[in-house]
Amino acid sequence: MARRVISAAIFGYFALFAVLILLLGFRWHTHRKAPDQPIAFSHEIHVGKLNLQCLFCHEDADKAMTAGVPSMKKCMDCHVAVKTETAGVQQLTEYWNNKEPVPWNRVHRIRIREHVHFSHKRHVSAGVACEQCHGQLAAMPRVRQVSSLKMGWCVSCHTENNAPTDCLICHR
Amino acid sequence: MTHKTAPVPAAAGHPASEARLQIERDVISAMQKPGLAYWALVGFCAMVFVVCLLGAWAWQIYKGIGVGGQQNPVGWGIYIVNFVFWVGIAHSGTLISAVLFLFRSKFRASFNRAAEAMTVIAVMCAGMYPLIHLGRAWYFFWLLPYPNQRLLWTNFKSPLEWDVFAVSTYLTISVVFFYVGLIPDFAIVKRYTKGFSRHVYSALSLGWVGSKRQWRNYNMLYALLAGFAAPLVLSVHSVVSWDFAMGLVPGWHTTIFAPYFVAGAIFSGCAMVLTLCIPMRKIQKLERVMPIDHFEKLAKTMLFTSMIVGYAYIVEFLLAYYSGNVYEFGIFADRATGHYKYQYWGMVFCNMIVPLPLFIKRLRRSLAYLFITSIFVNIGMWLERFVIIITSLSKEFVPYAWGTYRPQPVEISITIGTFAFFFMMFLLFAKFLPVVAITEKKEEVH
Amino acid sequence: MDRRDFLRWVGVASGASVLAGCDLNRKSEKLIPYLVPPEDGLIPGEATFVATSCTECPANCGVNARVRDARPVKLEGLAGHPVNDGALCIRGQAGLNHLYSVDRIRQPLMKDAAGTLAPATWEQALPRIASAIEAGGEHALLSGRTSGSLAALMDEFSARTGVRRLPEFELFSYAAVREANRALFGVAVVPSLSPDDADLVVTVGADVLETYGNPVAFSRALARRRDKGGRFAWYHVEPHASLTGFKASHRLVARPGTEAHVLSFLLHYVANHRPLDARTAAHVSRVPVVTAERASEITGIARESLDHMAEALARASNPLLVAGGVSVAHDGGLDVAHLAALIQAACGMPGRTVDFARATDYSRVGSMADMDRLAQRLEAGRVGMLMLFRVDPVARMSDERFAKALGRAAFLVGVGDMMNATLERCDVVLPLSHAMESWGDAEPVAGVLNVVQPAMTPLFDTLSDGDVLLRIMAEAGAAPQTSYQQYVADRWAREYGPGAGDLVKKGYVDRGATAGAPALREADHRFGFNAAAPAGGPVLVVAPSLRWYDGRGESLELLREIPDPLSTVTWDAWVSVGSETAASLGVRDEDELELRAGGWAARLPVRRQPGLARDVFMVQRGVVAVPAGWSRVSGEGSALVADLTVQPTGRRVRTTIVSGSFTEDGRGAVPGRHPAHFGPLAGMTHGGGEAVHGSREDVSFYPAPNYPKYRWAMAIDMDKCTGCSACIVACSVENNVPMSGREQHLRGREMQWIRIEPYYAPDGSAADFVPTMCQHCDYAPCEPVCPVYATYHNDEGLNAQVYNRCVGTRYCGNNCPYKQRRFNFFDFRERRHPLTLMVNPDVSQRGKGVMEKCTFCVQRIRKARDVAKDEKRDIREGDVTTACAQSCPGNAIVFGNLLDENSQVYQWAHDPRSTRLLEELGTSPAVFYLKKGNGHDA
Repeated sequence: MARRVISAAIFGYFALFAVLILLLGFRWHTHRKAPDQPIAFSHEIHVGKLNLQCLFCHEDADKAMTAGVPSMKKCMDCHVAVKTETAGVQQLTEYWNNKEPVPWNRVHRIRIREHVHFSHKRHVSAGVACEQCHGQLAAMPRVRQVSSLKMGWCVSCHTENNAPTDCLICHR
Repeated sequence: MTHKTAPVPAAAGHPASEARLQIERDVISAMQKPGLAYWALVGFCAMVFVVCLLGAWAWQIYKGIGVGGQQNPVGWGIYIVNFVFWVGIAHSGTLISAVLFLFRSKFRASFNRAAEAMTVIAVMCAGMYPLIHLGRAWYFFWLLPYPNQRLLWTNFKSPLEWDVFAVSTYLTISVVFFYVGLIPDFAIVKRYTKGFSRHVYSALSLGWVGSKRQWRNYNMLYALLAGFAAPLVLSVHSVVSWDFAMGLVPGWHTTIFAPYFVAGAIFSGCAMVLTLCIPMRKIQKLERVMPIDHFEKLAKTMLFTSMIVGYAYIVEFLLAYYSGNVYEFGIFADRATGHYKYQYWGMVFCNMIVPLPLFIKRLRRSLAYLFITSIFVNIGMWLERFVIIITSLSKEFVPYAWGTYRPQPVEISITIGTFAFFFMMFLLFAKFLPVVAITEKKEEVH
Repeated sequence: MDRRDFLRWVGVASGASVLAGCDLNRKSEKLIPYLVPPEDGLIPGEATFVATSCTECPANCGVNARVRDARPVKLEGLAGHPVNDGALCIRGQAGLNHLYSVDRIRQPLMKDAAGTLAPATWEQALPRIASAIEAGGEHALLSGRTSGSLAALMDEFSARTGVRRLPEFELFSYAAVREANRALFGVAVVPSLSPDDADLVVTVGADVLETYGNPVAFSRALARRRDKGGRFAWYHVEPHASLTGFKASHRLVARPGTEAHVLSFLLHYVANHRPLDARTAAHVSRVPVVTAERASEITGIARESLDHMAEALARASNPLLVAGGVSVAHDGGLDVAHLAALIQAACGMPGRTVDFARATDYSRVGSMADMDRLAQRLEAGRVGMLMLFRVDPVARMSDERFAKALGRAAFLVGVGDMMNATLERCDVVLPLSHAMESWGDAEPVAGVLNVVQPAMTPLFDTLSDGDVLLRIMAEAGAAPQTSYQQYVADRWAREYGPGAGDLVKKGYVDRGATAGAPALREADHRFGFNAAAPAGGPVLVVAPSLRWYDGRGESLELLREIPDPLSTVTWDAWVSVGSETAASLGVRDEDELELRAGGWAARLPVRRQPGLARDVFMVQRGVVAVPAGWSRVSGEGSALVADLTVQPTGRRVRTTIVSGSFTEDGRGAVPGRHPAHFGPLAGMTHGGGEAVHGSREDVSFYPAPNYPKYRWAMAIDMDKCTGCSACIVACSVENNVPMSGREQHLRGREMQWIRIEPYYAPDGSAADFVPTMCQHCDYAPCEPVCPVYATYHNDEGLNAQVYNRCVGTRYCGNNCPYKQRRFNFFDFRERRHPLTLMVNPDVSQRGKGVMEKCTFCVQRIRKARDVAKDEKRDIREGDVTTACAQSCPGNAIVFGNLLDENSQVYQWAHDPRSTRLLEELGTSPAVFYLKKGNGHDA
């Protein structure tokens, strides 16, 4: 009897933690990595099905530090005619008509962005494929951050490809 | 003033066992139930510690290190002064217990417990300061070489990095040494206590029964640890001194710093032992176990180191003058005549002049006089660190960048806080642990 | 504004907020896209440049504004501009602080019932003014100096609305100089100075390196002159102590108000030693003769100095002499100006070193006499509406009477961009846009026109200078509604025809000099200087401020942070006192003095000033309200206050004096000067000082540094450096250097990355101004002591500082022999809007508890590399320069790659004059100093 109680207690104790960990993991996965977006824009469709090139929308990725979010005009160029019946496009059109930009939620958050000066341009022109950091967007209905974007992650890639590892490359 | 009591000589006809029992009783009686005054004192210290140190530190972390007085060019303030001061205090502990143990010098037994306790507490105090003084204390762990995702390592060229190791090593060794020394005494104390505390002491005594075999192993271990600890007396404070000697700041960048600092450390250490033991001896009626001539021996050590330190002061000046280097000599001229001249001459007075009368035997044997002297020396040694650190920084190479530093309330409050912490811990020690190594004292009796 | 424009602006604005999201505001987690991408192909995060004009002082230098994310982030001199050619002064650099000042007026204000200025709208304010104009009475318009289109528009305005346009108010009106030039040459202008080919420069009171004329242009010209080599000497005569004086090769201190005697002596000496034409001779004959003895006795200048100067002037083949500043700002000032003009004529300077063709137009500017007339008319209640346009007479003149008189006007309209003493008294205040937000133009010197064009949309509900006038005209029904942009565009089209198009791209147009050199005319000026010897006793000299000119902009915190180069005082007001005087008064620095003169009184802390004559006290305009006074003769605002009484109050006032020592105290802190020695080694010098650089290997135990491609290095020419401190502000803006504030300065926590260290000769006769910054040593003492590698040496020779790795042990700061490291004792990033926008996004802002220092503008190096990589090449000479070097009016700083033998920095580093600071420490710095005296100054 007593032994059963004890073993039950022990089991319960660990089960509790197992559940907690699972919950945390789940929350982390959804919340931290893939925020909700005002419009359910799907890279799966645009990249996967229609296989648009990344640079088609993110024009500045090979010109500037920031890859840049495509302008509303860019969206409307097509969606003025295409798929106008879908809810998402209707939302988009509404924004456009009110002359409001869509308040997208940032996916890639870096805690000390202040101190890191990362240039998309340099990486793209060095031939780093977008997928290498951003993952298979073709398979992402909803974008999430696939790479840690932590310093160690950067440094190890730089050392592998003997890219410079001088601190001043990113920090200044 | 206490009347003079020599240790009971075996030749006096009494059976030695009686004398041993006497020592035991004396020490244990010092541990009987503490009175209200005691608790009030401990409580007060605790309060000061929490408010002045923890409170002020929290404020400093919230606002920024700028609440202190540090500035350009004086980047290090009295935090570092205190750090060096406490590390210095910590020294006598190892010296008295380890080195004197190895030299088999008898008078050690009266003080070693107190000294070791003092060491452990002082190192704790010292250890706080490097953290308190960091601009971003919350990243202190970056100073520890641990594998991290950033793939970054610490700079082993930096004297500050050496400090991390020196101090942590010193703390570990002195704690172990302290505890091992206590084991047999715990066993004795256990016999005099009952109830809960009895359990505690027996647990602490690790089942010590005093069998022949236990004693053999114990002595072996103790000797080993002593051997371990002895070199630290030299190494730790040398490393601390290199914090400065490795820099090119005029007034820091000199080769005599290591011996100079070690001597200073022992000097201040002895002084602090006196400051603590003389009242303790009176209050806890330990006249029999802490005979005067042991104090006298300590006084001699102090006098000796005082002269080494004094010598260093003079040599520094001569070196600076003889170097003919304007930066070097500029600093020393400024120390003697400049903005901080009072601190400088105060230091000279306390550390060189005040101890001199100890050449007179009568004064050496007067506890009152020793006590006063020791207080002066403590102050003097604090000033010494202040002079070395602050004056050197305030007048470096570039005249445009000269500036003066004045400690700010937060720094002072934190300083007071550590003293409160120190005394609180020592009070607790004085009541709950045998303040004199009973077993060793017994060995003195034949 | 049509729909397209609207969308575009919305686009740009929201685009800005994207980048605000990305770069500036860390909290933001939103990504806001453009609605429509800007058509001019503006790439987010990439800088663009807008060529416009500086409006911080009447000199109107050409400016190139670097724009990031639709906000100007840095101002640079416009390269190739005929006036300032790429350089910018301390005040011009601080223009950004003016633009983003927290004191900007954000919308129209109107006096409410309670008589306090309350926010209003243009729709409310303009009709109020219109009706005031309707109401009749003698309306008047008082403005600061205007030029170009704005001047024209103002004439039009007054013509159409009947608002009488008063002579413009400038405290530094050059009244005496203009009057002298009118009388003698028939042109009432302020000629520009060109020492380019001069072999002798004599400046009398004119602080040509600080505020007189266009200091940037003068420094540039001086630099060109020094490059040419050959004999060159510069005598400066002044009653007080000025930066210009200490930079001249010979500084002669005359008793206040006695300059005329010096000039008269010079004139006659020259007349006796140079051939003169009849007319000049006639003029000279009318000038009372002053012998050397007399001159020396009156002025207190040593006889031989006077003789040397006179000889030099007589011998000189192409001399330049100019009198101005404090020397003409007193009752004898007109004499001084006249004599100076006569000497110019006698030595044939007009057309050679004194350029009347390139004159600055002050024709619309009045004098204090005009202000006095205005005051009288006001008191007589004869002024209806008075419009005060971008002018602050109340504060500038600090004249009680005028301030009171203002109240008598029926209606006061204030027009300005920042609140000031004058606007506070107005019934309606109209907010002006900053030049960075407006269209317009400005005429620095005859023949040159600068374009003023917006680099951003206005921050607040403000209008440009022209638009305000146009709107009022429209409101008053005096003209049809149009925009000032249109107005100037039309005007340019008329003036420059089709060429007007690239005017906007280029930023300026130079139509070359028009008139030639004027001839001397008959004139009868009665010289009064010889009448009576000047009264003795204490005198107060009110000097112009290097930092805020006549006092404008003294509220800009950025300028307040910068030390005055002579006294190294930052935030506080002070009175400069000569060492002798201080001794006789028994006062030290920070002791308080009470100064009284007539009705005026002030209590100021003492700052001893080496080189300041006995019984001469000096305050700067702006830091304190100075006694109002002006010369009835010339109408020039007076700079001398006689019968001064001085009384120590016995109080000590903590003052923000930054420097730790007047003299270098034998420390060898001045390039090329060796440390003094004590004891056995006394008199010996260090070989180190002379060492030729890069040759450390043979004396060092350490391995020679290995730099594969670049070794970034800097060289500074101590002959060319004028100590003007422009580099400091340039650096502060470029690198987001924190402004720590007065309290922190009092505790020795100033943050500038570059500083000017003044070191005086013990007797105060001479001074060196040493610009120092992080020396980026090969063997940097700061590097090995950092326990976490927050600072280290990279393979381009940069002494790197990684802010977010720093834990704040401050050992590096202690161990830096040059004391160039700055610690963030608090979080200095906190600023009030809109000052928060004065941020260069390319540079991290440092948080509390981290060390920072000069980085050799690494962000600019990175940018240059980025460009070079795109072009698949290495960084070339000229691709990259630091903010300080870029801004330096004296061309005293060069930056580049020391491994490139063709680079300028290599040349300078291997110049025989080249030396390095504290070389004997073996740090092997990357900053080379060309020590003073390359043989020019004879």
